[in-house]
This record gives sequence, structure tokens and C-alpha cells, in this order.
Amino acid sequence: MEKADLKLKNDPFDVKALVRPLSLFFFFSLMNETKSIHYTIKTIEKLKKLKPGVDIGKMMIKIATELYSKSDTTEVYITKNVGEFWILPLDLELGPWKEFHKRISKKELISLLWGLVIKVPEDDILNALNISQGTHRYRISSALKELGSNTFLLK
Amino acid sequence: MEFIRLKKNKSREMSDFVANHLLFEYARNTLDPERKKAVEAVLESTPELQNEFIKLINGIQYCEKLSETLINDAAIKQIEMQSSQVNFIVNRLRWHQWPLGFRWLVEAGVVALLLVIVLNVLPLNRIIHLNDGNDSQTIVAEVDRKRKPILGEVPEANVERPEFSDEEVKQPTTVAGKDTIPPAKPNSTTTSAPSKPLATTTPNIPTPTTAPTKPAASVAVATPPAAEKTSSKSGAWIYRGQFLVTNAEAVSPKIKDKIKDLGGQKAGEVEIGWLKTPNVYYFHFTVPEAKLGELEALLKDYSTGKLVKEAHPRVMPDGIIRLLFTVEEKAAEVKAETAAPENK
Repeated sequence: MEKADLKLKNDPFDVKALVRPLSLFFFFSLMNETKSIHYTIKTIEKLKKLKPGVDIGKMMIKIATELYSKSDTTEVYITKNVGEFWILPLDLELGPWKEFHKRISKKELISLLWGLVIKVPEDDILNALNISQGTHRYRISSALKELGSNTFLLK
Repeated sequence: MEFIRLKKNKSREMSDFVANHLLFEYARNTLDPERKKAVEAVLESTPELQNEFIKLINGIQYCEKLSETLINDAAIKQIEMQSSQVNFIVNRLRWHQWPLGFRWLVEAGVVALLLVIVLNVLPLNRIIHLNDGNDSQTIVAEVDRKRKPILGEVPEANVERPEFSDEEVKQPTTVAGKDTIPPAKPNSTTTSAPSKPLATTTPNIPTPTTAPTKPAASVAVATPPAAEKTSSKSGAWIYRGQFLVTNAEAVSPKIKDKIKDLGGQKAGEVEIGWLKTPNVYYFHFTVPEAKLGELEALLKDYSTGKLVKEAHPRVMPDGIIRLLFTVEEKAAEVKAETAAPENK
């Protein structure tokens, strides 16, 4: 698994390094531009309150996952303004992701996003989510099969 | 040292179930060669597993695409600068881009909502009546808690407060005795006509020694009916009179007892039948209006006096009347009258 190029420093607090993973995580998990920015700021504010020396990478995953788990994801997707904040790949269609989003469980989605989309080191994910490696990989595998059934890239 | 070589068993074929769960590891190429061969063997022979593998590869490729998503530098700066959620929400609402009429409508709604909240939360009734609270209050009773009880005095709670002020009584707490100094002015009411001069018209009256057991009827002294005044308020009346009896000392307690039987209650500070001056008994009380006839009949038994109804600013409750009269010793009156010309 490729490791993400994240240089998370706690002292001094590096906000820029946190914005991308957090905003991507919330955008792809909530599928709501406004809410994703709101939760990104909220997570950063919480991380700023942590004591110096705390593992920011692990805490970022933990706090963001908690916020997402508590959030209400039943709202209508608002993706009209995508492109203002996010620059999506040209050949990427969000349709399969929306379908996948409706069927998948939150836990599998979390593992998939942190592991394969944002590409955070696996050890940080395991520590932050407090799950075993087998559980994490099983969730990713299950999520990938569900996602792959919606895509037609290899047909 | 020789190692014992164990015989290697014939390798078993991997089941579809196990191969399915190893597909993710196989796709990432993290399996050992032996397991890799086993999974490939199952994949070749199982079309369902091939479809699962295709789905897995599709998912991984889609995730690779998703991971290429970038974020504007402007957006990163904006997130960095937005310290508070309020600013963020306001900015996202794009308030200034709203139609003017709609903005006015929202503003009016917010103001109305605030007004409703303020009016409901603030105790406006207390604020409005803050200044005139002292003027409008009615004092029913006042208790002076700082006042120390004097030895021999009746406790404050048991003392009946006089509802009416007694006329000509300046020291209500003192018990009436024989040495009580009579007040100089007998009646202060301006509407009542002088009654004492009328008593002088009956000079021949038997002395009390001639008939001590039965009080004889005496000449009643009363004000003329012309003295009555009509009052604008209903119930603003007082009944006055002066009765001359023989043996007032014996008659007065009987009248007092009868008044109490009729439901009479003292109106002023002194008791009913208070010894105002020697041989003069003071009656100031309230009684139900229905008992007035009985009371007049009682008084007629002992004297020929008459009660006169006068107007008074004090309004009585419905059905209750107030009476104020004196019962005087007829002999004393005569003596006083007879002594006066001699002095002259």
C-alpha cells in the first residue's frame, strides 16, 4: 500500500497538510460541499486544541471519523459547485460513487477512504480506528467489490 | 548435527471461499508465491471468482482516480482563514447576493422574532408597576416586629384593632374608672342638634331611691328629625342618641348584654357600655340592620329615647349599621341642672 505524502507536524501546527486529507475525506464521505468544508474546519479546530506532542496524523483520522459517524448523511447531495474547491480528474464520473455511497456501510467507507483514496499509512488507520489489520483489509476488499460492481472501466 | 527431513504432503487445493478473501491481497501482489499460485489456479477454474476479481480491480482503479482529486489553493487559504463557523456560514449564505425584497423580509422576520422573545422573557409587568407599586397597595394590617411587648400588655396578635375611632375618647387603652376625666366636648358632630338643653324641660323627676329595682322611664333626649341629612352614598349613616335612665349603673350592663346578644360588636376602641364619666355610659358599636327594631324596643323599655339617623362619611357594609349613644343617669342630670341655677 502506497503511503501518503503527509508531513503532519504538531509543533508548529501545519494546517495546510491537514486540509487536503480532511476535505477529501469529508467530501467523498458526505458528498456535500458545504458540509465537508464545515467539518474540515471543525476537525482542524479540534486538532488545534490538542496538546503538543500528540500524534496529529492518528488524531486527525480519529476525530474526522467520529465526526463523520455522528453526522447525518441522508441529505440530498449538493455537487453542483464541485470545481470551485475541488479539481476532479477529467475522466472521473461521480455517478458510480453516489450509487456506491447509498449501499455501503460507514465502516467500510471509512476504511476505503483512508486506505485507498487518501492513502494514509495503514498503522495510523489501525491505531486511530482501533481495529485489526485483517478487519481493515476485509472492509476495504468488501467495499472495493461493491464499488467495482458500479464502475465500467474494464468492460 | 543432522536435520530430520520431513516428508512433504501433497499440496491441497485452495477453496473458493479462501481464494475470494485473498483476492485483495493477490491484487496488491502481497501474497507469497505458493498462495499466489493457488489463488491463480482457483481463478482459472472459477468464473464467479473471476467476476469478483474484475470488480475488485475496477474498484481499485476508481479509487486511484478519486485519489487524484486536488483542492484549490484558494480553498485551502479560505479554510485556513475561517476561524469561526459563524463567518463561514455567513459567507456561504452569500447574503449580499440575495434579492433585496427577500432580504428585507428576512430582516423583518428576525426583528419580529427577537421582539417576541424579549417580550416573553422580560418581566414587563413588574417593570411597569415598579414605581406605582407603593401607591396602589392596600394595607390590611401592619405588624411592628421591632416593638418589644410591655409587661402586662396583651400580645399584639390578640389585640383587636378598632375599626372606628371613638368620639371624645383620647386614651383608649386606659381602663375606665370613676376618676376618669370627662371630655370637655360631648359631641363633635356638627349635624346633630344640641340635646342637653331639651333635658332641662323635665324638672320633676323622681329620685333613684324611690324606685331602685325597676328603672323608670325617663325623658329621651334626641335630635330632631330635621337634622338628618341625605348622603350620596348608600350605607353612609350613623345612629345617634342620648338616653336618660334611672339607676344607670344597673341598666347599662343589661343594655350591653342585650346588644351582644343581638350580635353587636364594639366599633371603636372602648368596650360597649364604657363608663365615660360618672353616671354616663358610652355605647359605640355595630349591629346587623335587621336587629335595629329589637334594639329600639330594648331602649324603650328603659327610657323613652329615640335614635336619630345621621349622615356620615364612613360607609358601612351592606346590612350593618353603626350606633353611638350614651346612657346617662337621670338623677345626675337633674342634679347638674338644678345645681347650675344655684351657682348662678
